[in-house]
Amino acid sequence: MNSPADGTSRRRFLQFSLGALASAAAPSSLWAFSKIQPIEDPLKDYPYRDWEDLYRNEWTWDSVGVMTHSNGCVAGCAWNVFVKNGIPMREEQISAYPQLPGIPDMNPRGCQKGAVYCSWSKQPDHLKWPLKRVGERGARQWKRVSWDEALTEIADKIIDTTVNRGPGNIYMPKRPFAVISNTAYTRMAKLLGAISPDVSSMTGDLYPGIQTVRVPARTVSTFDDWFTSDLILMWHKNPIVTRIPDAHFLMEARYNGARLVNISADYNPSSIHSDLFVPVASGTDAHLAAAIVNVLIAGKHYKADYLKEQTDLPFLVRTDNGKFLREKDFNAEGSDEIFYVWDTKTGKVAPAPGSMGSKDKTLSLGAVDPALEGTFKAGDIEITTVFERLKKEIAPYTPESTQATTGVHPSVVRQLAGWIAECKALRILDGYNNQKHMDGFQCGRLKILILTLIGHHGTTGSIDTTYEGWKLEGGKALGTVEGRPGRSVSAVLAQWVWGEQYKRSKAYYDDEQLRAELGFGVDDMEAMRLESEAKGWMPKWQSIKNPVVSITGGINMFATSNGYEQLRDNFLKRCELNVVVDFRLNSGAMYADIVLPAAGNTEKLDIRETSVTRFIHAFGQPVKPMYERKTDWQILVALAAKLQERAKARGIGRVEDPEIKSFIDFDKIYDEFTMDGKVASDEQAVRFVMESSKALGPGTYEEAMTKGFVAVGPSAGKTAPVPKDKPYRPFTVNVTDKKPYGTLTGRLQFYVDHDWFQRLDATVPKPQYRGGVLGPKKYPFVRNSPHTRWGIHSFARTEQWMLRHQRGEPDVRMNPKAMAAKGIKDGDMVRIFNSSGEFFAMAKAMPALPENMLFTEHGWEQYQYKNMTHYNSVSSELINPLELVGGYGHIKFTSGAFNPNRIFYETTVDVEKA
Amino acid sequence: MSQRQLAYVFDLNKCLGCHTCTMACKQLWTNRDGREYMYWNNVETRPGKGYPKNWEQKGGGFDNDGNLKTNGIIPIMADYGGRVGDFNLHEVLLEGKADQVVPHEKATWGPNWDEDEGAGDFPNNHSFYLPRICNHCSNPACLAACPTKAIYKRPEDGLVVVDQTRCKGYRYCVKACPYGKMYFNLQKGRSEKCIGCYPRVEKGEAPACVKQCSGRIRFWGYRDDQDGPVYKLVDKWKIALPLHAEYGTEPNVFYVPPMNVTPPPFEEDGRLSDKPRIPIEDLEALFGPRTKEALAILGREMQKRRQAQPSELTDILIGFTNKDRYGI
Repeated sequence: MNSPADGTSRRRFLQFSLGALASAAAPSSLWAFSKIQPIEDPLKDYPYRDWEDLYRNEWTWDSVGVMTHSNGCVAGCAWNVFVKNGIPMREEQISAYPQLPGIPDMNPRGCQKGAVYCSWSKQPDHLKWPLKRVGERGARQWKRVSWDEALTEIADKIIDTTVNRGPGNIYMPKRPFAVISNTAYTRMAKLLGAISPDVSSMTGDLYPGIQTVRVPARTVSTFDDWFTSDLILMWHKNPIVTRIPDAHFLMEARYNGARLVNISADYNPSSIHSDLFVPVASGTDAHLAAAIVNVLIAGKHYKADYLKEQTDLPFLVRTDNGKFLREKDFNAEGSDEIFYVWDTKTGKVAPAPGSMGSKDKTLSLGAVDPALEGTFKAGDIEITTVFERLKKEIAPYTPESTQATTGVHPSVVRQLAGWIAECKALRILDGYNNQKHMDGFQCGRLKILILTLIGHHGTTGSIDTTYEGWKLEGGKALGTVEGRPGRSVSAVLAQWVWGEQYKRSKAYYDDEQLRAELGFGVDDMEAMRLESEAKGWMPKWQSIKNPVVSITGGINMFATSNGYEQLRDNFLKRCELNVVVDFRLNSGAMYADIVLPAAGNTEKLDIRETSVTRFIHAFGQPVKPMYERKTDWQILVALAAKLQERAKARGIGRVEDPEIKSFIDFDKIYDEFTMDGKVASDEQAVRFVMESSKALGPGTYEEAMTKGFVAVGPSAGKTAPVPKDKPYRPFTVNVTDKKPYGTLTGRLQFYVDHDWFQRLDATVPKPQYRGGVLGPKKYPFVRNSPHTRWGIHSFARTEQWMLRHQRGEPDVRMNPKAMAAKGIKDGDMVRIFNSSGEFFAMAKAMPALPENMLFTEHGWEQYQYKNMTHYNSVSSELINPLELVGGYGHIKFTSGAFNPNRIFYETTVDVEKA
Repeated sequence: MSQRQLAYVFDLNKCLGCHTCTMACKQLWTNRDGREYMYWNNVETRPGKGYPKNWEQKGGGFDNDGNLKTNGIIPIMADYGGRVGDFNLHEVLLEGKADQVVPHEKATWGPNWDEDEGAGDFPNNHSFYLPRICNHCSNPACLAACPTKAIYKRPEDGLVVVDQTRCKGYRYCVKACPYGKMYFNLQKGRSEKCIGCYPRVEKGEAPACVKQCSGRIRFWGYRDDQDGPVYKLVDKWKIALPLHAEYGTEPNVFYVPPMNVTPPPFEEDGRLSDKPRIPIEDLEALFGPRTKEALAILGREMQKRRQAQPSELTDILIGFTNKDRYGI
């Protein structure tokens, strides 16, 4: 027999063997007892196949359950989990979503993070029982305590703090991302009068610019709607990395005839599959957007009829003071929420229906034909249109004049603007990173203006920011307690004060430079913050209360901020009892006094309601909580029970809370929390939410828990109905039914005549300053720390298989030329630093980056860095005063919608080999 | 020579580089029992060194005359990314004994070490993702190399498997596979590789990497099924090509090559250039001389669709539902 190792060809070998083939005709069963019998041609036949059971036996399980993940994730995906000996072993996407006619279906939904969850949940960072600190804060020395011990200490401290220092000194940041888990904290915060920070602005995920144009800013089509587009701009968004379950719709839209455009400072993975990559310099996107608007207006590529009805562009503005022409300009008793257009038919002003002050709740103009352009006179008052103002103010921003700022050649801008002008269904995927830049506020307004000018908003297109969740009346009811508003704050402002971010920013930024570029510096920001609080625009709790007891649910407030160590130290000075509830020991929990173990994803009975699909997803509790874990709902139920028990034992009843015209009923708080026992169990709470929501209703609990998902009904859409056979698209009823928008003018509103907008020269969408990163110029690198492929924020960041597909520790990516200039090689440990801090990471070569960019994806835990540093240790933030505004129709403090967003991409840094 | 042959098409224009396929396979087959270092399915960034590191230089396969080459090497463990070890999470988090969570064995290479790196200078750099599994070749070098004849093609589906009771661990197969897709289980002393998820296939279920692919890039079915997407993409439309056909193993995994002219790169002054972003020679080195032709067909059909004309090809590549993309 020829040995294959001696170089004989396999084909020759077979030729030699052919003659022997006939003799191999004996039934293979005769040979089955022996492995030493020769095999003739394993390419053709192989008689001994019983061994194949070996792998067959590995693909077995005892039971299958349904679940989802969604911690911090926008997606929402249905998974089966396979359980063996009571242990969740592996997961697989259910892949059974129905198809809408002519649209690719959503199968399979899920990414690699979901696929490894069962493995991750077995790691030592996943909590098993309550822990109490025995060393210094942060020393990570714990003793195991019972639930009763832990809850008694927490309950007594809450009662003592409330009684002795007054209500409102309890702080409850939370973000556990499942309806029941999340609402547990909401409900408890309301009952305790606790302070609830807006965690969206905490992470820099608000869209305050767009919120001035439409309400809500944060909304999306279901992502299957991407398929209906013929031009898709990925702008500040890298969906191939951050929207894995839905990214296929992009490539499928492309195969369906769409063009994909990626506008980004780096050649990110979404660039790979795009038809045009627009490399815009970091922090100059508003200038690029303005140039596109400029081309569209100059070339008259706008849809006048649509603009006249759907926007405030025809609204009249006084030329003397820049204010809207209002009813009260004609009549001292008149409304200041009624506005006018110039009717070209009559040559007179005509009131515009649909504004906040108007009795006519329609956008329909009837016989009126408003002028878009021109200057007119109403009595003695000279007036012009918003469009005229916009045209004038955007005129300087030509593709040619903006090139020096954006680095984008005018021919590229004109090609892109040309595609926009001729497309039939434009979609802008607008990512969170926009508003982390100082120019993001105005850039957001400009982006939605692009979509609006060509008449695609609410018709054939959409600007997809982020999901707002489906309308679930039951969820709202579970989180609401009549007459008990609780205390909302802007997390950024809370940390500005409690974390002394103000001092940090002042120390880091060059105030003179800021004033020269922006017109205001850090001291001015602080002054305007105080003015905003004094005027009642932004809540003032951070100025008059302290987080004496902090209960954090499913979020690490130090990681989602700037200056990890500084915030931690300053916050903890004010915090006497720091409680962290999570399913794992995140690096914020290291500094807790008590850590409570929440049930993990396989152990929850809950639902997830993101609106990027039409489906509500089930956490079907394929296994009961293991060890001593409890679901978030059960933890808060137990805390309520303990509070009531201790209050009764200590003779404490109602504590009045006149600041918010409320009260705290300590001796009834369990009864209140559970609605007298109606929602005491997880199942009761889930059923309450589902069965009392119009878009779900009876039977949907069973369906979701069996199938893993259930489709919402038409009423789930907050700004439009959910069609049965088409993807959901927001704001369509404003066009089809002429329904006013929730803005002051009732229109897509592009003019804001608030005093501060006037003072800061920001009445219309246009770049707020000359563009570019604002950090001290002595540091040559700008930062980029976007979402990662390998985690959902910190979710899965410590997972061993995920880490094995990275570098096993945090990395920082640099352009190879920049590395060479600094003498840094791939794999070297480097120190990234500036005057406010430092962190260490492994250098990784990345030709996809411009030479001035240091790129490090977010979500790493502090304990994954050398010396317990953190990527946010070098960041310092700025406040855009436009986001401090209130008292103006729809522009007012709204948690999750409007308050100062965390702006930290203005930080500059340097790097050296460590 | 099997009666039927299962085959795959991977559309690289849809690949997200998300590694859901890899993790699906990992959790199903290779997170235990000495298989931990193995990635039966991996995704690598090209240009790049791949997994195992520099596998294209490892040798193996057949020469032009059909002779089995003997130059193949067994990659060293470091080229696979080293042994898989735990992290010191317990010490750091629950005992306060160390201040940084790190793997017990520091990594210097890994299955995705050069992720997203590619080549070229910003903004004209380029990269794309290349997912790889066992090619379940019609002329498998591993099979030819096995002195114990423990490797065979299943007649009913053509999947190439290693008899785990017959394998003696000589590792000729590891040397012979030019794709680096045969692994040696140090714990068991036997060679192991992608099994095409035959236990699932036998129950009518697609392989995990196919069914769980979030980018929906994977088409799968019998090679001779004229109604199936594999036949249509490979034989009818001729836009799916084998990887390194010159290795002589006749792979049954085919790739729709990545479009190389988009997004256009830039001239020195910032204007769009009409040069391709990815040099066609780079793609031809992977997918052979028909690459240009395949890309031209794809480009032509996409242009038709852009002008609102129907295209069977783009409809196939969209793959509206699971059954449009895979099935037996």
